[in-house]
Amino acid sequence: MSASRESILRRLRETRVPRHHPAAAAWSPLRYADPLGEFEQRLEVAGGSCVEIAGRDELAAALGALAPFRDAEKIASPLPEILSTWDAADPRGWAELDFAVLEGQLAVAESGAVWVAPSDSERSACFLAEHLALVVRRDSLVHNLHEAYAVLDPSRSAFGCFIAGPSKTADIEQALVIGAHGPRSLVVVFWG
Amino acid sequence: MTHPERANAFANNEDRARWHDQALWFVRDRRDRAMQGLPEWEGLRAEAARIKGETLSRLADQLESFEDNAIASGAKVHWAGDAREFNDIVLDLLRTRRVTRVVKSKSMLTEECQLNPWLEAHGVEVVDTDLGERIVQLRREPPSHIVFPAIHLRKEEIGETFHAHLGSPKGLADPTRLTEIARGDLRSKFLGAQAGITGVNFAIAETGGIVVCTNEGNADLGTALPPIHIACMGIEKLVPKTADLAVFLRLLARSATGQAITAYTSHFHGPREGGELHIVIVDNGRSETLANPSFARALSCIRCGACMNTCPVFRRSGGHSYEATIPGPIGSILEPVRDAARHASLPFACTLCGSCTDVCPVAIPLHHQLKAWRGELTERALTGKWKRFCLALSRAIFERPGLYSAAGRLVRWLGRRLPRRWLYGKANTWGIARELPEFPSESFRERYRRERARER
Amino acid sequence: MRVALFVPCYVDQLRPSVAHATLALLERCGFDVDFPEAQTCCGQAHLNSGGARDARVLATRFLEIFAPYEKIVCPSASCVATVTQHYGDLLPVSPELLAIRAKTRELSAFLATEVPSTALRGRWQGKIGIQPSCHGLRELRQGRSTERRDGHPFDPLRNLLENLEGAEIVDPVRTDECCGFGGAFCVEEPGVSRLMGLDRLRDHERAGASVVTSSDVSCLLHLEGLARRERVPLEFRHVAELLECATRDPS
Repeated sequence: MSASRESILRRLRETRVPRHHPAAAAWSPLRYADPLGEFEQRLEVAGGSCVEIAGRDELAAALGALAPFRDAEKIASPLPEILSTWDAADPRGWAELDFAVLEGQLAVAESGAVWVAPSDSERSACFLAEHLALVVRRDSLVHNLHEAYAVLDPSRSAFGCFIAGPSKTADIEQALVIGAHGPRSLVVVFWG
Repeated sequence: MTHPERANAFANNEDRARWHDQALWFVRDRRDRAMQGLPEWEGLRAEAARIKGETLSRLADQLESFEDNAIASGAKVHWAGDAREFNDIVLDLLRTRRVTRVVKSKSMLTEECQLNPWLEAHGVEVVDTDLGERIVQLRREPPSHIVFPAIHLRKEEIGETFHAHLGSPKGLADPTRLTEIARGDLRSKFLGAQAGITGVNFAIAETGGIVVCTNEGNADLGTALPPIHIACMGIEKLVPKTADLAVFLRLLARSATGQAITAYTSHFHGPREGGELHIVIVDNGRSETLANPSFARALSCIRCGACMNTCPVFRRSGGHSYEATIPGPIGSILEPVRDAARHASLPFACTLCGSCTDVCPVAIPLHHQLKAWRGELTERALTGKWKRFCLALSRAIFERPGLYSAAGRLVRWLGRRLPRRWLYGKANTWGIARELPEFPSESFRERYRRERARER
Repeated sequence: MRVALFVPCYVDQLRPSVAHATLALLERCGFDVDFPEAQTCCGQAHLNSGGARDARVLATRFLEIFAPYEKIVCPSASCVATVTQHYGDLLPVSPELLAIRAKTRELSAFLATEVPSTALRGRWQGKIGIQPSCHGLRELRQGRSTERRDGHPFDPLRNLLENLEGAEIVDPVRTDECCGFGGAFCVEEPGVSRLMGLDRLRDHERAGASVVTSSDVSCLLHLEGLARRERVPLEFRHVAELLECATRDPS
């Protein structure tokens, strides 16, 4: 235990911070009549897109309809439906990943976001890939972040992330540019 | 230099100041629309203020609980009392692991502690990976805004910088192509890095986890590839529970950029397999701020930048005019706590319009705190002598209605009689850009008295 | 009702017409108005410039002078905000302070709540731009703030203007941005203050306003000074002046 730790904690304990009591207005989080429609709209605004399929057996065909997937040479996917052609264990191939397909655990309508908790190798694929697809069960869709955290336990994995669109930046004169560092496109596939 | 000196220089370049104003107003406008989309907005703000208030009132317990849980998840926790100690801890971590190439995502704390120059002086290459931060790093400038570090620059200037440092074609100023060039350059930095440094947006006491928000995904690449992750956080970043994140995440991106959520909201609980996660907890003056009842609530700040985007002064004076790590309204409160004499002009760089208070997602009464600072600076004799004399003199006049009336009569008489070149002499700062009002021959009270006397 | 007229020092000396119009309006609405002549300044300028000690002296004076009245009405939102929102920072809480805070009202708020709208019918030919007083808006909560998501706000100034036949309110793009006056700010930060003011002028001009009104006189003096220098053809009337003129001859 460092001396700084002790002195910081001591200083904080010696400080009496006046409690602040803001007027507690009653409120409840927004819910939507059509959460899937809301999700699609949010994701579209963020530069992503949505596909709906009835069952997992349609996944390969649905992705096959996307040009970036068709053109992809190196594909990373832990999903049994998609053949993986990329080896995360070989760092030499890190720079060459064209497409990653990962399982999402939950989708949030209000933010157009999908929760993913990838393993270590999936994690690098998730951000290195030129294009990303997330596959989510339709009935995992919740209305807002409060509902999401009621279901999720982020502490169960070393890494978990809400992904809400492709990588983007607006750091040059506020001009929105898609594909800052990570994927240049995101497609969310709802199934079931 | 004081804020007015730097601000005047910025504002006097009217076209540029207007362009800067418009760029940030655009962000403020997007924030408004996002806010309108949530009917519970004001309730959410109050809830965020309540959570932060409670956390700050028992911060030591929260920090200990965070530390326990972080260690249990496999992270290493370090404590730094000040900037010097923080820099030493990070440098030591890197040196003992023979790390010489580091990628860093945005962290205002590392800016505050001047970590980059410290590491560079000791042979470590630090690459800022947020595009805006990379731009100002290449230009050897400080960021001018906490969310948009390069908002003060035109795309042509960025093109020049990239031409000089990254070999982009001369004259190239297209944002998409410039971003693509930066992407290519930074990709190699990510792949070659031995460690990644990130900031922390939220630290969760009940799990020991940390949350980092970016749009570019740079924090994720910077922690997914190199085996060592060093996360740097101020002691005020805590929230008690995971569920509290919902409140803050809903407010943060909407306030910052008008997005519903950032593209990436990453939660880290412990290192990845075979890797290391180090969390450095830094005080560097925060506990003093907390001990000052006038300004303690400013520590609730979640660094969304909304107060800067809405501030009519910031938009027309530029972030650099504050000469502070955190500029704008919130910076004008936090920075003088550190060094009141150096930042004494900041609390006055404000019309007290109150817009910052109303946009603040955690409901910090920013403009009232700025006003409180003015009083404190006067008490500490850090405002101008002449100003304090004028305040006392005018107060003495206002205490005596007869004297007040006579003084008013004299001023109005002079205003009507003096030749223009005298009236608009050097001392008349009002008259630099404005006409003086027409001086009436009678004050209200003079005419009131005259008319009432006649009625009687 | 016995009403005390609270006239800010700078209105008394530099724009007395606003105080005369306030007095005339209140008397026309049937109030028994008194102007306590011992009053000078509420201390706003001192408080906002860091002179809390000086402001405290003036606040104490204010309390003594205005204590006997049932209502205190003032044609300046920022002075009212100083009394109702900030005297508490200067003085210990006392029954006198609480009473003063409760009975001090900004003119348009007073008229909109204490006078039936039929009594303030009038006529105004032309397009009116509103430059809201920041302190009226964000301290007194009079008017709609674009920053907030509150339901239906109390907007007395707009309601009073809408009550005038022929009057058309034209809103600038930035409906509630500060004009850049800011008390001592206007001379301490002349460059930014000027630019803020010019931007407001341009915005009101583009909206098509011929006259700009406000519940604060200081904002108008600043904007008027800029407009005269830059030869911008806008007129500036405090809401008291405008209403007094519009309701003078209802026929």
